Formats: sequence, C-alpha cells, structure tokens
Amino acid sequence: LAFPKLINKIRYNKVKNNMFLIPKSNFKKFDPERSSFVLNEFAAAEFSSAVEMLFAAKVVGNKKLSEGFMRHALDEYKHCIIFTNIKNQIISEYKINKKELSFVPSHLYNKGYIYKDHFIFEKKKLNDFAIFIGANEEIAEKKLIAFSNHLKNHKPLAFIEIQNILKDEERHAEYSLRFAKNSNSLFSYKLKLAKEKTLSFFRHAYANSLNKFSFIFNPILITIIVLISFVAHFLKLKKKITDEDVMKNIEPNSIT
Amino acid sequence: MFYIGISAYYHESSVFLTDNKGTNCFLKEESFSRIKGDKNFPQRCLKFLIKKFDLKNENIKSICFYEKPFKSWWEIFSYSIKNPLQNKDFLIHHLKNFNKGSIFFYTDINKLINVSRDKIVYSSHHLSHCLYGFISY
Repeated sequence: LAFPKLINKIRYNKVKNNMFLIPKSNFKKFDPERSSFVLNEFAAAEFSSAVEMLFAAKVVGNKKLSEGFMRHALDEYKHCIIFTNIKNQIISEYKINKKELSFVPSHLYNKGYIYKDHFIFEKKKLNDFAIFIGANEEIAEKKLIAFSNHLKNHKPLAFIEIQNILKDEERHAEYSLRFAKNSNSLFSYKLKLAKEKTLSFFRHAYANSLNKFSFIFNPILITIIVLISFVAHFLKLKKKITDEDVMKNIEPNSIT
Repeated sequence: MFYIGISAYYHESSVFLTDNKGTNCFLKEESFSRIKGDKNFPQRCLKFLIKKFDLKNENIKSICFYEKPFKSWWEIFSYSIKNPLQNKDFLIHHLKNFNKGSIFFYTDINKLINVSRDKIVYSSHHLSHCLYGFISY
C-alpha cells in the first residue's frame, strides 16, 4: 500500500516543481499551493518580458515603435501585478507559508527569464525580435488558457481577470507577428517562427529537466558535505587572533 | 588614471569610478537592468563606463572589490558545516552556486576589460565599511 503512495508523492512533487507544466489530465482537483507556484512563474515571466520591452523602447530609435514597446511593457507590468494579487489571495485564503512562492525580482536570473549580461534586443534584429515576441506570446497564451480553465470553478473572479490578460496577450502576439510578416518574406517568416517555437520548446524542456538533474546531483553533493563535515569535525579549525583584526591582516591581491 | 570600486554578488550591485581629479561616477546595476536589488556582477554598468570613459588596462590604476572572495565563501561554509544536517539545503545551494559567486570576480571582469591581475585589489569587507564611514564623514 505504501508503494503507490510513494510513487504518487514523487509524481506530485515532480509536477509541482516544474515550471509552467500544467498537465490537464491529473490537475482536476484544485491545489492552492501548486496554483500559487504557477501564478508566481507567470508573474515572473510577465515581469521579465516588461523589462525586455522597456529596454527595446529605449534603444529602438523609432518613435512609433518605441510607443508600442512602452504600451506592451505597461501591459506586462499590469499582468504581473494581477497574477501576484491572485497568488496573494490564494496564499492568504489557504494560509500557505512558503518562501518559494514570494515574488523576488532578482530570482528572474536564476529562473532563466533574463540573461545576466545582455537584453534580447541587443542580440536580435528588430524583425527577429518581433517573431520572438509573437511566438512566445502565443505559447504563453496556450499555457494560460490551460491554467485559467483549472481556476474557472474555484476562483471565478480570477478567471475573469485572466480572460482580460488573454485578450492582451492575443493582441500582443497579433501585432508583433503582423509586423514580422510585413518585414519578412513569407518563407523566411515561417522558417523563423518555426525556429523560435522549437527553441522555446527546448527552453521549457530544459527548465523542466533541471529537477531531474538535481535528483542525480543532490545525493552526490550531500555525500561531499558529509565527508567535509567529518573532516572539519576532526580538524577543529581555530581562527587566528589576527583574523579578527581587519586592519592588520590584508594582502591586497589575495582572495583569502 | 581611473580607480574603480565594485560591489556585487550579494545585493544592490554597483560601481564607483573616480580619477581623483573631479570625475566621480556612481552607478547601480538595478538602474540599467530594471531589476530591484540586482545582485549580479554589474556588467551593464561597466559596459556603460567603458564606453563613456574609454576604459582599458592602460588608463586603469586599480579595480577594488569590496571583500575577500574566498574568505567570505569559506566562512559561511565552515560555519554551516558545523551542523550539516540542519543546514543541508543551504549547503547544497552554497556548493551549487560556487561558480556564480565572487570567487570568479576576475574572470567576470576580464570578459569586459583585459586588466592585469596585479591591478585587482581585494579589500576586507569590514574595512570597506570603515572606509565608507570615513569618506562619508
């Protein structure tokens, strides 16, 4: 009897931790913690998208496009706030106390939504950037539809708010893809769109497989920690008195 | 000749540049990345400064990092290892993120400017606080 329970627990944890992964078949029962996690991921994605748009608006060098990017950024910030508010409502209603569910902007780097050294607009041409936005907005829309259907019965007000977000997402995808269509040949447009969708698929697959890797590497790390603690216990490392005196103990080029 | 001070990897990454002749420039990474409390190595700030002041090895006197990278990593590690089971998650995180910390400061800065190793100065964390107090006074 214990074995199926264990399997279910592992499956549940695997799904719970996965970024954006919302399986339709086994997500019938409302799970507030899992929903909060997904909402937090959506908020992070919207926020990072807003940051990218803001940068594009700064450097694009075309007033109309700049205004468009600004409007897009404002929409994304608004969506981020809506997702965070829904998440906070669920958290307070079900009294969930988990630090993983709090929205911290600097976590966007670790989650992989933003590159550490550059913005996407710096590396892509305008046409490619438009296709990138269009493809990703379409993917986000599909994922959001799946998630909002889940919320429909349990959180009707949140469902209505998400429907408004969906309209915005649809509009964003439509505008950027129309721009890309006009500035690329049909063949090149279709090829680039397919490429972006494939890359996005692999990005999600990579994010989802990170937990599987931790399943392999965490036991190795725990073994290393136990071994080091064992050695450290017997060494009984003592600090030198001079270590405390920061004014006397400095070698400028040393990292220790 | 320019002197550069860098604070990074923990919270509010920032860069300060001075030539002791009236040029003083303080930049926070969050102003460029729009991520509040950005703690990454301040690449965007440095890129801006490199472009603005044409920074290169020849016109940089020294680059100062605000603490001793290995010492700070090791002190946290050696303190937590005393109770390995209690601090298990923290220790795993600490080991996993070894390559993302300040130990690789020189590698990070070398991606942007080729500076000779002897120009990098690692101050002590508390001494940096003292000097900040001294300067602001």
